[in-house]
Amino acid sequence: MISRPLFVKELKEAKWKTITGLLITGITGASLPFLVDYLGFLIEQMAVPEWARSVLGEQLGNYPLYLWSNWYGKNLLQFSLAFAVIMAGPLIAGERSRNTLEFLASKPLSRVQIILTKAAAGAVSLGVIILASTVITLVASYAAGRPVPVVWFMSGFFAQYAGALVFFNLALLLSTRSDDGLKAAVIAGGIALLMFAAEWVAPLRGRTIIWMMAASRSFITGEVSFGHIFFMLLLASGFLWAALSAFRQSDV
Amino acid sequence: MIEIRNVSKSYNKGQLKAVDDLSLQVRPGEIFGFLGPNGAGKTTTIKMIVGLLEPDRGSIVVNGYDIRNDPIRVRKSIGFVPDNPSVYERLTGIEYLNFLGDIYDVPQAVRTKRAKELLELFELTGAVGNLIQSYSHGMRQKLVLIGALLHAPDVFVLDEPMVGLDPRSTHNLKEIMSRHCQEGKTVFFSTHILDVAERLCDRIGIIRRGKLIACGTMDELKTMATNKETLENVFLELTEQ
Repeated sequence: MISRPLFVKELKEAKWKTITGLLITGITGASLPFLVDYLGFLIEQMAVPEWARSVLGEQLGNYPLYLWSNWYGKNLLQFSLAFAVIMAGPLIAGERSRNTLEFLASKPLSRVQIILTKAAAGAVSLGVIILASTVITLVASYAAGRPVPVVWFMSGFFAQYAGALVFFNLALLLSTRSDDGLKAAVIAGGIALLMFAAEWVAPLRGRTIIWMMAASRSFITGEVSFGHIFFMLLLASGFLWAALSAFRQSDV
Repeated sequence: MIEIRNVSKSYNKGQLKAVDDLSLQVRPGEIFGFLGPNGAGKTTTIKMIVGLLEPDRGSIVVNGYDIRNDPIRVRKSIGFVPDNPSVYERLTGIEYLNFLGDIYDVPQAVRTKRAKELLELFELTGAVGNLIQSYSHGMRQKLVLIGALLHAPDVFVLDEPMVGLDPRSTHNLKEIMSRHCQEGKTVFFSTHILDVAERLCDRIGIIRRGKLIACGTMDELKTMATNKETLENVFLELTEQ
C-alpha cells in the first residue's frame, strides 16, 4: 500500500520543513526549564494584578505543573498544530499548483498509494518533530537541575501526536480539493483556532480536541488517556478516508 | 500497441466535448503522429491513454491491458512525456532519475548504464548533480525525456516533445524515436511541427474538434486533399473544412 520510492522522495522534500520545525520547537522546549526562575522574577517586578500574580505564582511554584502546561498545553500544542497544517496543506494542492500531480499520477502508482504514502511520510516527519522536541525538553529539564519522571512526562506525547494527526489529515482532505496549499493550510489552521476559542465557551470546555491534546488526565495520573487517543485516531482516520475518496474521484 | 475504441470525453458536465467517438490503433514498431489545431483534443486523448483522465465512453487498451481495469500495468509499460516538463524542483537531477528507477523497479546496474548513455546523449551529465530548480526549460524537458526512457518502455507517449529543445536534442530525440520503433516498440506523439511529423511518422492522425478527421500514411493523407504538396498543405486544407 505504501510506495517506498515515493515515501523516500516525500521525506527528502520535507527535510527542511522537518529540520526547521525541530529547531523551533526544540529551542522553545529546551528554554522552558531555564525560564522558570526568570519568569518568577519578572512577575515580582511587574505591576501584575493580585489575582494574576496568585495564579502565575501557583504555576511557577509547582514545576511539573509549569512544565506540563507550558509544553503540552501551550507551546508544543501550538507548534504541532501549526506544523500539522503547514505540512499537510501542500501535499496534494502543492503538487497540483506545481503541475507535478500529473507527472505523479502517470506513474505506476494507484491513487490510494499516492495518498497513503504522502500521509505516512508527513505523519513520520510530524512525529519526529513532536517526539524529538519533547525529548529535548525532558533532557533540558534534567540539565537545568529540575528532573521530572520520564514515563510521566512522555505519557503526554501520545495524545499530542494523535491530536496533531487529526488536523494533519483535515488539512490533507482540504488539500485534495484545492490547488492552493496555503489556502488548505489556512482553512485547517482556522478550524484549529476555532477549537481553541471553543475552550472559552463553558459548555464546550474540556470537550474539544485541544483539551484532549493537552492530556490533563495524563498529568494527574501519569497514564496514557487511551479513550481520548482512540477517539482522535478515529477522527484522523475518518479525515484520511475522506481525503482518499475525494482524491480517487477527482481528475488530476 | 495502443487501441482506442469509440472513446469520448467531455468537460463542464458534458457541455464541452473534447474527444468525440475516437477510434484508432497504433501498432508495434510504428511511429504515430497526432496532429490537430489548438484545443482539438490531442492532450485530452494523450491523458486518457496514460490514465490521467477517465473516458466517459469507450475503451483504451495498451499492450493488451485495459486502462480502466489495469491502470498500473498500462502505466508501467508507458514512458510518458507531458507537454509541460514540471518536475520536483527540490530534488537533484540524479535524485529524480533514481526516484523514477525505483518506481519502475529498474535494477541499479541497468539504471546506471542507461542513465549514463542518455545523460551523455542529451548533454546533461554535468548538471545531473544540481537541483532541478536551477535547470532551464530545455534542461527540464531533457530530464523528463531521460526519465521517461529509463525503464525502456514498450510504448512511448509524448505530448509536444520538441518544445524547448535545442536543435541537437531535437535531432537526438528523433533518433531515439526511430530506434524505439525499430526495436518493435510503439511511439505516439503529438506535435505542431509538421515537417517533423512528415519525415518521422509511419502514420499520422489529424483530430479536429474532438473527431478524427483523417488517419493514414502520408500518401494516404495526400489523397484526401487537393493541394498534396506538403503535410502542411494537407493539414491546413483538412482542418479548414
